[in-house]
Amino acid sequence: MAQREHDVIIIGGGVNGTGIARDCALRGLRPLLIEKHDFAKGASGANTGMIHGGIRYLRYDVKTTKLSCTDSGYIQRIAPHLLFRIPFLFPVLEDDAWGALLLEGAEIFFESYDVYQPLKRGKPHTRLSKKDVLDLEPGVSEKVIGAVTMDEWGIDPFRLTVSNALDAVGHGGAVRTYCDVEAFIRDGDRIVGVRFTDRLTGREETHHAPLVINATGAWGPRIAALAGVHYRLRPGKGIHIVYSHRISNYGVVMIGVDGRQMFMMPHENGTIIGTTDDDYYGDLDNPKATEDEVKYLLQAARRVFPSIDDYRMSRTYVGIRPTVWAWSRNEDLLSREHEFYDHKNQGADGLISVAGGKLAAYRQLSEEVTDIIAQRLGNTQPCRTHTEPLPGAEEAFDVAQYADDLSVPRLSVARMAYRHGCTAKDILQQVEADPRCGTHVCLCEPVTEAEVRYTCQKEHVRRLVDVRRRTRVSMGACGGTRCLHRAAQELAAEAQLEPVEQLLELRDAMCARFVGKRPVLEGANLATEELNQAMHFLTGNLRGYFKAAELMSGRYALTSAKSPAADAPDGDGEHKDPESLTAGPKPPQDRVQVPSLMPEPR
Amino acid sequence: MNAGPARRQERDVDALVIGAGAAGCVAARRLALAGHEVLVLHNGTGATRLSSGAFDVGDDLRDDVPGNSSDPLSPSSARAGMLDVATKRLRHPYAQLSAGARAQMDDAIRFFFDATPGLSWHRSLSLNENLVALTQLGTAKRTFAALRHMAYVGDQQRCAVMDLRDCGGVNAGQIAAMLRHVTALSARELSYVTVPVARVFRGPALGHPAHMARALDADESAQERFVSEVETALAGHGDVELALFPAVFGPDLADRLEERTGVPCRALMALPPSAPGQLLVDALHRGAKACGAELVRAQVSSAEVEDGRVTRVHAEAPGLTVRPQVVVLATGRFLGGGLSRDQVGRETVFGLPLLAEGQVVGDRFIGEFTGPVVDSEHEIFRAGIGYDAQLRPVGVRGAKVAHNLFAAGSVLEGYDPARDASGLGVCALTGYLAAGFALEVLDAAEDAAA
Repeated sequence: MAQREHDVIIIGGGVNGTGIARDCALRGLRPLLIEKHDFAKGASGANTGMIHGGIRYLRYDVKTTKLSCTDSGYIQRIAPHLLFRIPFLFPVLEDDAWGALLLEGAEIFFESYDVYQPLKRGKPHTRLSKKDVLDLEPGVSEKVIGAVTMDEWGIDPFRLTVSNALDAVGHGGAVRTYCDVEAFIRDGDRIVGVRFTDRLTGREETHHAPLVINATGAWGPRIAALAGVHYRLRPGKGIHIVYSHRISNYGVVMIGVDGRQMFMMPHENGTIIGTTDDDYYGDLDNPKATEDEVKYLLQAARRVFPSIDDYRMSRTYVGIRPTVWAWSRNEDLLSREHEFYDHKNQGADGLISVAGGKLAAYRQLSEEVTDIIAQRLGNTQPCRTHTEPLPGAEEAFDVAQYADDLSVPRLSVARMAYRHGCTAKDILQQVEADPRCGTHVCLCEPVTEAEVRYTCQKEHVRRLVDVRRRTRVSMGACGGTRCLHRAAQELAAEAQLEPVEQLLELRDAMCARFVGKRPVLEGANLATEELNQAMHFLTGNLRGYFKAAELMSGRYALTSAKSPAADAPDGDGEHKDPESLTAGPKPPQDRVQVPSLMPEPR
Repeated sequence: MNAGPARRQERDVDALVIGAGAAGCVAARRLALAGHEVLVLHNGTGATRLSSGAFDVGDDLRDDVPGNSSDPLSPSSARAGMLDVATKRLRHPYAQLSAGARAQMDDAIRFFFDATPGLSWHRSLSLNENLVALTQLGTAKRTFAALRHMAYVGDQQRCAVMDLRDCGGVNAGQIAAMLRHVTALSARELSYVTVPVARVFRGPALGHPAHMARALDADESAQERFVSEVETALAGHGDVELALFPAVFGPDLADRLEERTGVPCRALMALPPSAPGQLLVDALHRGAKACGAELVRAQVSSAEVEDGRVTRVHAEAPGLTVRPQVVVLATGRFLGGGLSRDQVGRETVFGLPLLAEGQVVGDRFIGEFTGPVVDSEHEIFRAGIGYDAQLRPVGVRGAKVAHNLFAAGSVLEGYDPARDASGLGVCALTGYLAAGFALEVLDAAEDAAA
């Protein structure tokens, strides 16, 4: 009865969904991945960006620590270009509770972590005196009495996710972004496919597969509800603050007012501090960093790194963890382990939901899920995701040689090679054809025109915000002031967007940036935003064109019909999630109303 | 290295102007022309330097009507725009100043153009007509005046967007596509072709139009090669009536290009870093110095007010204390350094409260002063200091801070250059007026002394 266009349909384009898709494809299965937004739009892209060993969990969740360390080692093997070492300091201050005793305790604690370090090529801890600490990291408070070091690895989580997706496609899988699952197709008690709508074209499609994996993170219960089944999560909101530049040499562990451990660490060209962890009951599609959360993080950072206020915050970002449900435990004590829910007994045979997990253990999670898939489908191929290189990791790449041959700055080529590995060769070919491709679209990160074009051609980019996630355009100090309109032009050229579409893409990407900047418009960041506004709205006169474009696309009419706030002169209150806009009015659908445990999106 | 108190220089001047952007330079020039000793302290940055070379006075605030389809290529009236702003934005300086003060805009504008010696402007003869400038984003923007070599819509119909193979940082094809879109919203019938221009420099492409402008500026022979490549490129497009370039040249090279090709060659309004903004500031500085004002680069740090009078203003690097008769505060906004918000919002020299829509910003959450989406209204970008009818800064309760202190330009509360289409117009008018009010104080002091 059921057709078999695909072996398995995976809903969710986060690191787990793409990891499962890759594993399936490597085992010769034909997966179809469906993502409502873009790869790593949710928690997969909004984390601390570390393939860390989970030292935070060592106290109460040893299993997760070991798992994380093992998998961290594998990820280094399959994507060495994407990793960067972050040595961490755990400084103890004289006014810390227990003071010197804490330092001894910390050493014992890190000794126990050392056991797992070899799994991920980490170095064992060292003990530092007050002088050592201040020599290494002069920004640390004078109140430091000593520190213990630990060794961790950073990663670009967007690149990790998209690399998995690209590899899945390279091995026969299919991926579809901006597709919203509307309903499951049933054959009695069995789930045999999904119906979804392409949100950019409005087209509805139905695809069949004997198995459907729900890997949608915090949205999971909502997707499950479409099949009339349920499971529970404890969604936890976490925010980070991003600084415009690197302000410390090392990662620094900081302790919050409530005793929570948090980090301040160099990440790519900036510094991030985070994270918070709070139960979240709000709108999953529109989480926002609040003043309280910003102040909570700053308070912790200021105590251990007093000069933090001299530096420039450039933005915040927010994610919602899909933490496994437990009652009567505070957020930090919740397990980071993952669990799978087979909905067969609830009357939805063939649907499996994935809960929990963490970035560093995505590969392990994917393997476990794919084992289940393979077993159900009678596939006996072994898992190869821990040995097969991800795209770009196949061979070495000589940054200096390519940079010098093509007269592109070595730093730019190095950053490109960091993101793309040896694929940078293909990207740089465009510079040979037209030297202008070697110039920068984004100076902060830096990103060349060639990379922007390449990502539009080859990396499933459908919107300008996707370019940001693929290349880090607009993630740097200027927050999109200089680069977004240029990236919009290149996207429009590659994707043959109409000017109206280009304007809407630019507006939505600017709005997405603004959501992150808004809670931290202080100091120099406020001046940069003044410039940003002047460039786009004074010199470029874009406000009127944005509005005309909305009218012409029919989008304004669509949203204003729904939202009473649209009566406000400048349309305040609309577009809560700038990335969730559709390109045109959606054709009416027979939407199945299903009960949901989560608040429905407004 | 520590410049201790002993190293501080002290000076008496008639007038101290803080800030050397558009408002500060206009005020300094007017005070100096009246025969006073004028010192201008400035920090070398600011919004004028980052501006596009367009001089906005006023325009219809079409943004009040979402998507209003008014013809983007038809001119509007700057004077009507001023009135529109004055009636719709009640805290805007155009609304706050008296009608008599506002009526001095004609004088202020004349004064402004005189204050930029060496710059040649394209403008209509009266405030009744804005011209329509074209930008590097492919959009059209109404403005009262633009540097003569900048692109604006005349009576030409067939346009070429020049695709310079030397110059990265622009996409000529997309600029042309956007210009076609803008034209489609208009009753005008302009057409656009993209015309490639071969390289004149060796090596890697230049990263940005401003880089190419610098490279051309420094190399006479490259200029000649450029002119002849443009000539060759346009030779194949005999019907082109207007050639639009990224902002890679100044007025002189624009003239040479036009001479050789027979086609007006103009630069699209540029985004910062832009040569036009730099040209404008340089000209304003020349204009102030030519009248005897002295410009000194220094970081003004604090001021002393005694008995309702500013008595001393302190600057660092170099350490300097100035004892002025009158002070004009033209320090700009966040970009210029006149306002800051680090936990608490304040004006940076006198520590005046930062107001937004009349409310004290203080340490309130920034979210309260910003809209939800990037192009909505943001009160924080209308923030500034309060002032009375004579442009004297006032405290929270409306009392003036000092009788010899006046403010001008974007440090004033109530206007947003990015939304009110009145940026340099407000600077020219308030700079001119503030100097006028300051002159009254200086004259009264002279009379008293006599």
